[in-house]
Amino acid sequence: MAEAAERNEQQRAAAAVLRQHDSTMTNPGDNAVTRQDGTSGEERCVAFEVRATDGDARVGRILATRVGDAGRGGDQMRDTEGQGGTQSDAEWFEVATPGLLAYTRRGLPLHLTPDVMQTLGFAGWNACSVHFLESPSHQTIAAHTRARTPSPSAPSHPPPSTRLPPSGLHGFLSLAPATLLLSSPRDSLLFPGCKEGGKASARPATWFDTPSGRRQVTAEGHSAIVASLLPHVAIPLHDAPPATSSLNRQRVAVERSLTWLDEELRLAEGRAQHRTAMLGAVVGGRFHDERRRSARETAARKGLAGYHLAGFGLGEPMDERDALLAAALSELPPEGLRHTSGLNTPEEVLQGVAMGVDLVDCTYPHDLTLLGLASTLPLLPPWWGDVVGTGEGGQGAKGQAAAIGGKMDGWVEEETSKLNLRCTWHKRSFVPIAPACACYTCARHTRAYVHHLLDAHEMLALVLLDIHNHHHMLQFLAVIRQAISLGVFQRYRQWFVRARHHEAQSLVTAV
Amino acid sequence: MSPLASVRWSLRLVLSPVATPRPSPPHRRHYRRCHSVRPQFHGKSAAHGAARQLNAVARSDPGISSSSSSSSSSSSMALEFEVLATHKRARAARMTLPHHSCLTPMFMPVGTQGTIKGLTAQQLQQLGCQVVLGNTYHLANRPGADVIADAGGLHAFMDWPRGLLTDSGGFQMVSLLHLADITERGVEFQSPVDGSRMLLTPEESIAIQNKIGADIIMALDDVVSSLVSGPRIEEATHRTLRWMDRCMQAHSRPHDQNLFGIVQGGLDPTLRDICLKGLIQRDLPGYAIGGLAGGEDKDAFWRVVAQCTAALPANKPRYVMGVGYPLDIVVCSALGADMYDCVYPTRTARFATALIPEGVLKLKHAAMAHDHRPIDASCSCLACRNYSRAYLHSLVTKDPVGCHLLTMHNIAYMMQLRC
Repeated sequence: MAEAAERNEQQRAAAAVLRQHDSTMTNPGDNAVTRQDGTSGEERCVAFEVRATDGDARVGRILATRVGDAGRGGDQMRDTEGQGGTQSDAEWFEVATPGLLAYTRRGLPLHLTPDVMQTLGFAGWNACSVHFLESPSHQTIAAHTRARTPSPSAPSHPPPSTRLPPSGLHGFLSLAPATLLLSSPRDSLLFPGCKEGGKASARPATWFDTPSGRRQVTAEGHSAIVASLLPHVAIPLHDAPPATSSLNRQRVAVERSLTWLDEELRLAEGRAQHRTAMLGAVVGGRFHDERRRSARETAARKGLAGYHLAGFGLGEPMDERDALLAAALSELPPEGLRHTSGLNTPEEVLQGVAMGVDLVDCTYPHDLTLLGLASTLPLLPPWWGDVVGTGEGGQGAKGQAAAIGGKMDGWVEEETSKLNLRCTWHKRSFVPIAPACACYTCARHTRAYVHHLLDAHEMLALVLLDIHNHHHMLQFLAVIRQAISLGVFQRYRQWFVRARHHEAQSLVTAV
Repeated sequence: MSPLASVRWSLRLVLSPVATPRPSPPHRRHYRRCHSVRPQFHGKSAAHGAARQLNAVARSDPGISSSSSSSSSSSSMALEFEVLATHKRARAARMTLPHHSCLTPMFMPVGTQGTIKGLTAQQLQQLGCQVVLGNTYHLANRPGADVIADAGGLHAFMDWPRGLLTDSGGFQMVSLLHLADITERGVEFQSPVDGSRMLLTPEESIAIQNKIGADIIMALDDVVSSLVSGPRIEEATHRTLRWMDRCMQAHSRPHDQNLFGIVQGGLDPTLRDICLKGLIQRDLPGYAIGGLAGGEDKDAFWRVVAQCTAALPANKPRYVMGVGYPLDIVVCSALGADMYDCVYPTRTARFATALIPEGVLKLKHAAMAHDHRPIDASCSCLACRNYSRAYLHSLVTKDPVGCHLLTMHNIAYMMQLRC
């Protein structure tokens, strides 16, 4: 009874936050809208609130509506998200930020089947919209949605539940109801540069590298894809040229991105698609003025739930990135959700979070896996125990730190941040990859086994490494969140960078 | 489902028409290694023809009892085999191994190098796999028998808590024939990985299998392709018996590993009979029927299986090696076999073919792109519960996870086949 009361309280709080963010939402249960073409529309409710800050870094939470019942897809997928999200009748689920989004190709992760994915605590899934140009095409997904959505005029249609019916990519892939779905036009693993589509012409277009080859995508086409996918959050088509591009090119990119953003907002309005929250893309390359201009203009658009900081990881030096992020963020309102991709190492993630980013797409775990490396990053500094112990709710914090899986007195096992499991040192190493790690691979398998699988060119090697590397990265994010909550983020960041630098130095001098 | 009902269901499948795949074009036939051959006859008459012949065999064989459950069982130090129910020649049994208690007839997925390709041990357990295969030759190459022994055996190395069976390396005499030199002493292989030479004698094979530690180990037999004829087969038959004695001599763990003998003799009933009598005389915990599923005519194939199952003791398990087409498994179960292994279900999954009750579903086919049904509406595996054919069509052969999903489905199909 006490738990039920607590959950109700959380639901009421969540509803309050959502209402505050959208004054048009009067009744949380009323989420069926009628589109102009007569078919019933979908509403995804997404809201974001900042809970604590430490300098520019912030922890927050995203509240998003569940999609679908615990029926066809949900029954075999446990909800692992959030405190208020384990009841089947809860409408919303919570995602803690800063969070890591899972990379997917054609909607599913590269190596991990959904039953394995559910055991890892991703903030959400990033589905790249240009993967759905063909095979599977977004028309197939839309047709699937139409086939499964019951007609609103049917008399025996049961009253709509407070949840959204499974539709879009959620329904097509039977994703768990509590999966936050974000769509982005850029594949963060392949991360293509954009091919020049000619000068700033009357009909601007962009060529994208997709799994189906190089394709041309317009704002209208992209909007149609997003309308079929129906993600919680969508990043519109934008133009982010490489860092070597000239000032004129970046100016054109800013203009194009704004044009396309306006176009997509207009089309979304026309579809009565209020609730796929749109993020505005801030581009501008290495030019501070362009970054500021792009941010200012984007912030002026109404109806955006947050901002995507585009064009990072395309060749700009890491030293310049702080200033560029600051330039962009200076013009953006602090309550918007910030997402970025292209920060593909742990240090860069720390840099982004330090500037105020909430959601990241980081390909570091994937990069390691594909090279046969296992992440053994030291996560907890030697002073962590004192900090956590003296924090509020010391017992809970200590328990949290222990659950994270690092040793309270610092890392003693490994001096390096990754293991090369192809190395024959590990042939007879019958210990887990990381002894204190709680992932499936470390709980059930040894380094010798993974070494053998890599040696024998077996696919299971990549699966097991993927599990471990992603788990480790997610633990890293959890530590970051805790550091911000405790107000020690800058100190943590300094320790982390210094430890990595020290490791690099020691390896150099050893040679 | 009760064991008796399960046996009856198996027979019902034989009697009902099933879709038969087309025979493969000549240039593809060399791919068929240890798998069952596609039936040579087509259409609905296939199963009927087989059923007619089976009924004829059942009627003519005086040793068959057509009554219901008979309790015949056997137990050796490491294996207990209890027949729970029979129906004509088919039987449902429980086989208790050191690591797992299994229900037969059962299909054993092949994990040659210590893993079923792409699936975790937990997923295999959830799919209901009872026994998984490993291969002595390949595991001796990589990672090496000593590494596995140091890890505490293959069970610990791959973290598989249920049954394991290791093949002796004999099949590689056929599949890697161009790299093998067979003499009375043993088989000398040239490794396909690095060209190094390895002499596999019966003693060496058993020693490696003792280190690997599987519940069931196979004797090294002189395997000849079923497409070969002539005096080589007779030589192989007698050599198999001689090697059997050497294997039994070398076996150092009879208390927790069961050494199965393998019946050879090609397609010649006389030679098969010699081998059968010799192996039965040696009173082994279980018997395998080898040298088949290599491209021979189906009519010859089932006749050999029928002869062997008629002669082998009823209270011990019978393992038909390399049998993997669902129809072949049903037919062999009707003839009285209990255990099967094949790479076919897992390999065909990686090539975008799903097994369904109606036959096979080629997911790469363009027609699948607009088919929103699951692969098999009656299947409860992860792939069928969550994804449509249209989606899997776009995923298979392109992304690893598509291959994993189909592998899960095909294994789930083979597991429910035994029900």
